Amino acid sequence: MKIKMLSALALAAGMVASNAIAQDVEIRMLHIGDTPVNNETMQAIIDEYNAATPGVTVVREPMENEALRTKLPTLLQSNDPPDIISSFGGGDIEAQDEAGYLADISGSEAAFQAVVPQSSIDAFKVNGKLVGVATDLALVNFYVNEPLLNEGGVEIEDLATWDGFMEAIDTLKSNGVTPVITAGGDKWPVQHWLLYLMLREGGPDIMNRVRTEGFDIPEFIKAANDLIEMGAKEPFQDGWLNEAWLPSIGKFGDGDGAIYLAGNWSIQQQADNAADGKGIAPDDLVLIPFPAGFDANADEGTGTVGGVTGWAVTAGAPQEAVDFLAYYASVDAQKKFAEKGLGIPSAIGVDAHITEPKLQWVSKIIGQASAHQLFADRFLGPAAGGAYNDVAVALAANEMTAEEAAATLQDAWDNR
Amino acid sequence: MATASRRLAFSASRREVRGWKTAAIFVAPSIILFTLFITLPVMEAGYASFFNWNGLRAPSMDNFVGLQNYEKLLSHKTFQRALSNTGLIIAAALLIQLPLAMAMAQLLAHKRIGSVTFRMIFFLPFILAEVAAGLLWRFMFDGDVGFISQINQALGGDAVHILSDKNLAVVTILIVATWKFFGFHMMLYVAGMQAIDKSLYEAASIDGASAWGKFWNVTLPGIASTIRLSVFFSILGCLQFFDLVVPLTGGGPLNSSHTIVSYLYYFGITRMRIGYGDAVGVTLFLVCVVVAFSYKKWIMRDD
Repeated sequence: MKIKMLSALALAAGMVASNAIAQDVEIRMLHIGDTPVNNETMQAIIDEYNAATPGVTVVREPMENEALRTKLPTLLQSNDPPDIISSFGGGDIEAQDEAGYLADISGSEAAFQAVVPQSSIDAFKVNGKLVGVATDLALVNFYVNEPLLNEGGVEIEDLATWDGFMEAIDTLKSNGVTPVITAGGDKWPVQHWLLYLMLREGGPDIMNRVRTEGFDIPEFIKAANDLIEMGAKEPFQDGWLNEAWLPSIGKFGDGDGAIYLAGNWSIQQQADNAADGKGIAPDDLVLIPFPAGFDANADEGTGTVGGVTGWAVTAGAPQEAVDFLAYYASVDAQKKFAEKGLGIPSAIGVDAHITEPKLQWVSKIIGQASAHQLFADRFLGPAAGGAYNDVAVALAANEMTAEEAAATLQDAWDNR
Repeated sequence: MATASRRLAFSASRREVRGWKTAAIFVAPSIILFTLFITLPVMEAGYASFFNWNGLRAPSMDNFVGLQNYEKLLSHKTFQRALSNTGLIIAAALLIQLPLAMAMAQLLAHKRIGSVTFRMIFFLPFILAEVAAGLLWRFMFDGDVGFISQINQALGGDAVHILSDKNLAVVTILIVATWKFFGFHMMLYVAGMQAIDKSLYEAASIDGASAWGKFWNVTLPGIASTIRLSVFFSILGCLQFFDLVVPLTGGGPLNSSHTIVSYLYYFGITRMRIGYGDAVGVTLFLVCVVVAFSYKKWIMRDD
């Protein structure tokens, strides 16, 4: 009897031990989940990986963009942070790394070099330490509803220069067409205007200059005054000051306005959020660069605003998270996004899989840009970035002078 | 005799010691809980408020800024606006919400046909989650699909974008707060009114008192302590007003509709300026403490 009991206990202990050895490693991936088709594609990649990698289970945790932005600091401080987080790099990862919340994955750089260009790796280095990888490029430019623009008496070519665009605002308004849609409630879509104007007036290095020389420089003042001048024409839709991003891009998809200065994620989102679920017909939706033809034209009119969207690995994440990320960044995984027209993956060899003509154009424009400036609110970090968004909206609403804008941003930057 | 009195004194002192021990046993859990969940967090927030701290690791002396966070706070126009908005919410609660609650309670306190049903209808908004109420009203005030805008358009007017108007957005908060909370105060008053001895009303009737006279001389004195409590709840609730603001206006447009707590959230937490947010929190805590103690001392001293 005693022997039987001891044997049973030994068997049970053995089972517990073997169970522990075979226990799955769970990798939690926190991401922006605004676009259903994007989520489905991610899930397909994850399902394939989970099936091919016994013992590892990757779980994605989608969150709305604004919610993720506001909740991330708290999540990072919790005892159970996600292993991989969606990130735009820049000031965000600098602050997170300084606080010790990101892993040092420099030892895996070679694995990433095999799948993405060095620029995508360098975008996620903080003081030489690798903390993640960029998997996607984003470009912000004019999205134009061409038939509506023409109906308002304006041709696409008229938008090539800033003066032409300013005249177009008047023409469109006089013909009863809302010139521009934006989202002053969420604020960040308005920052693209100020940032582009800074690039055109101040050149490719303007954001680094304001960080070191301060915001009260002639180029910033000029850009801020350009935005004030544009805002004075009241080009935006009624109620824009409290409009959130998704409803606003839905309005654009519904044909409520002729132009949206937005990123390439809008191609899908204008359709997803339109009342009919289809949005503007592909042939009617025209992508053109932000106007050039400024007196300074300091960036030769080719500088672009956008992002290098990627992933950061949090401190304490298992090596399996890094291994998964290397797979996720590779062409084998990213071609699924490219084939569906979901963004511009940075994976080596993915170009052949980009079939959507608009994304091919986006890819070409980024390649030709004299500079590709990261979103200002990301570049400056959460504190000064938040102030930048506030300032952009206040300038566009003619509620702040250029000098006040410079002073506000300087104060936010100094106290970040 | 002397021995007996010494025994008595000794016994009294033993009883006293035992009494203290018993008191300590009963009081200790409260003190521990109060220290853990009130004193320590407040002290920690007070300490952090002297640092330019992003909340991601412990504040260090490199980031010590003394009273700078408080100076910046008091001179920040958006915080000043948040203060005045909070004051406006308190004023609306005291001048509109509570009188409305009182009027409804007066109508519905006693058994009449439908009084219970109406009491429940007016109380319903209070049990609705504040975030849900905020979202609900955001749709109501929406310029494109909201009912106010739709009605105005049906009458031949333009779409009304109240939430995009920097002067009107805060008014929506006042409206929704009144809608949400007057039912709660009405219930308090109803309970108070029902506890008043009916013979007082009979006596007043015999003395020839009018309806107003009965309300002024019987009802109001009868529920005076309930009113004082209701005003107390109302002021403190308004000072901490937050959950409705985020889904309804998000503090916008142009940061025009922040309350003290939404300002703390947007300018402290989301921007990772936790030290600055702590300065807001400490300021709010001090205001609450001063209001609570002053009110207890001067207004509720007999309750």
